[in-house]
Amino acid sequence: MGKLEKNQKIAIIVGLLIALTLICVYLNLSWVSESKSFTFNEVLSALLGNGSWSSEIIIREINAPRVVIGIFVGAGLAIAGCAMQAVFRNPLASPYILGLSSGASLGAAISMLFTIPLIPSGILTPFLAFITCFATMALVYSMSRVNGAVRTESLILAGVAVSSLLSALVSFLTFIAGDKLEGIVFWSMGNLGSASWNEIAFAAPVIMVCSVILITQAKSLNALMLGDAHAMDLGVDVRRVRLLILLLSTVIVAAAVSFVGVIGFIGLVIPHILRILIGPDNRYIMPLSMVAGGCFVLICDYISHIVAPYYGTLPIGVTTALIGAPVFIYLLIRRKKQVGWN
Amino acid sequence: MRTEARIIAITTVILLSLCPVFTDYIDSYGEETITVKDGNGSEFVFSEPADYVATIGVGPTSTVIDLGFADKIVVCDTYSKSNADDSFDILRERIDSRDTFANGSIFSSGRDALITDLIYMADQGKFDTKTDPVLITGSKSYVNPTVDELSKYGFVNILVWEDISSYDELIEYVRTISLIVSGVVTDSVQKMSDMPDEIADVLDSSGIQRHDAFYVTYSGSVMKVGNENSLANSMILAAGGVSLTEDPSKENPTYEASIPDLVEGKNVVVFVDSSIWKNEDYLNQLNSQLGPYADEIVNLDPLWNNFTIRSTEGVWVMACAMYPELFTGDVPSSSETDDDGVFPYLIASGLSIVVILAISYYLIRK
Repeated sequence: MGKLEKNQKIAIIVGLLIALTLICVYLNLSWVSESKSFTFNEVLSALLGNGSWSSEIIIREINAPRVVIGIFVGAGLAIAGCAMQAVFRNPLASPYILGLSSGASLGAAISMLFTIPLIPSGILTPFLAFITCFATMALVYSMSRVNGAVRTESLILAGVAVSSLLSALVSFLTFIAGDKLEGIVFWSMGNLGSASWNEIAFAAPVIMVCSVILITQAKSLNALMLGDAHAMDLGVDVRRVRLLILLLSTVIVAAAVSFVGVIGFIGLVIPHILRILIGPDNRYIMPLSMVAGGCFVLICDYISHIVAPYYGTLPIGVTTALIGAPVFIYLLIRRKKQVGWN
Repeated sequence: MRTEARIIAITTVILLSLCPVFTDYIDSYGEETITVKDGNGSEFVFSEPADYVATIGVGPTSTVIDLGFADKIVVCDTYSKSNADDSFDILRERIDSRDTFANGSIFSSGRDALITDLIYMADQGKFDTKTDPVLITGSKSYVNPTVDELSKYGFVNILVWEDISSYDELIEYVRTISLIVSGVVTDSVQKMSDMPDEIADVLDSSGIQRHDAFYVTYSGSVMKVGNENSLANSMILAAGGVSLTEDPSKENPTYEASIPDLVEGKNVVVFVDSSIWKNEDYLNQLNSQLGPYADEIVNLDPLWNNFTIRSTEGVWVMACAMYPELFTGDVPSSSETDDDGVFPYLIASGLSIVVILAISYYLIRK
């Protein structure tokens, strides 16, 4: 594939993604119920503060936070997944590979069952989910250190082990939860509606800064994908870069998951789909993953609303898996080749 | 003669007017049979009030306790044991003294323990499988396997209520339990039955316009409002309110709705359950969606819309909330909590970013 062709392809993909994102932004902002949506003018008026009371509340206080947090969470999880797959040189790696989702779920479950003094109930769940997410990463990293060095295989194994332990603890808490069981179960399925502007004020800048730093490491990640030895030959400080990527990915996952719950599949599949389309160069994949991840979450959120008359609004994590998996399978079957890894 | 005839006629009329009372008594206890139906319409006949009872579910347990017959409960479920309401303390004392067993539930993981408790009590002579009732509330998928297994072990009187979706059904349910444990319809049950009519009479005679109201719960990660087959919605109607959220096109007892759209331009009283009033975040969300259109947000006690006789109290509180000028009583209400604003979050974000940048710089530098 010539360089010009590849750039054209990227430009088309970017254009399509941006157009799709804008359409989904409008569809999600205008949503009221299965039988009613606001018109474009009503949406614009509400955003500018000239709409009716109900349109301003619905669009600015209910729908807009969902759209904004959805974009940032989708973008963050996608780029974190992309980075994890490069660091671990493993196409099955996802942002949750170190047991981060289990860790965050444990924090959320604890917050729903117990009250902790001095911490307001309104922020207890995201606070504990954030803390336990980080604690999990620290535990996994320390477990996988051998003679001061950390190997990717050790990280994956430690991640699996810790994830199993934490999942068992979450299951235990779910079992004894009583009438709070539903809260724990639905938190683990993801919910874009649980984030307000206050939470977005924390999560969005943090996710954005971490994502930008990750993009600056795209060349180092390309080198890492060739193997540690090759990366070192190319001048990459493997240990520091790996630790940086893991830290930034953990921050992104913690910031995302602590406010909206566990949304799976984005970090695993979005980078894959892009690699199939444009190849494995992280300098392109990483920023494109952000755009594609945000767009994908918005599409799934709209679909979650459409099926509401039949099942109620689906948790976003359910929709991302139900939509994303068949698309990924279709691409794999159609291409019938390795997923652009080499 | 005329005077004697008048006396005889008056006496006859008095005696005839007492017949319904005796008939009722005979229906409930005169011929020493108590005939009741459970929620599935199955008929059960008891020759006398039960000596012992098993209550599986917070609803029947609470009802039996509030009727004054906690001492007849020999087996209950673990959720009854752990219920936070003070009225369950008497049950917990009985459990501590091993007069009541509470080791199981209708869910698959607890079913064996529940069956074991019942069989043990039967074996000890503290529960007669042929005559004593097992009262169960729960969804069909969990209840049916429990019923099947109990039937296999010879338990005969297993009364099941899978769902109670109206105040009238609730009255019938409480009346049934009252007959089973006491042989009569107690005063508290009668009060429960009379309350909607008493409220309606006061409202009608005052000529006051009926108040708009609806019920909100937080379920499945969204706010849902009560539909016409929701018990809380039925209680609002019993309390003289006008429900804004009845939608015959929807099957479920609660459904997701656009609350700002619903309330704009109206004055509403909103009833919320503990899924909302115990969570500051959800309460603030609801407040922002209600705006200036909510007269009051009233906290519903968990036992008020949970298959218990306490619903009487709930209906009264609802009436007091909607018509404070006509009915007096304590109305537990929620007010918007202080929002700390966006600044603490921005500060936390800023600090986090500084730390992230510092660590990144340390790791990136050659």
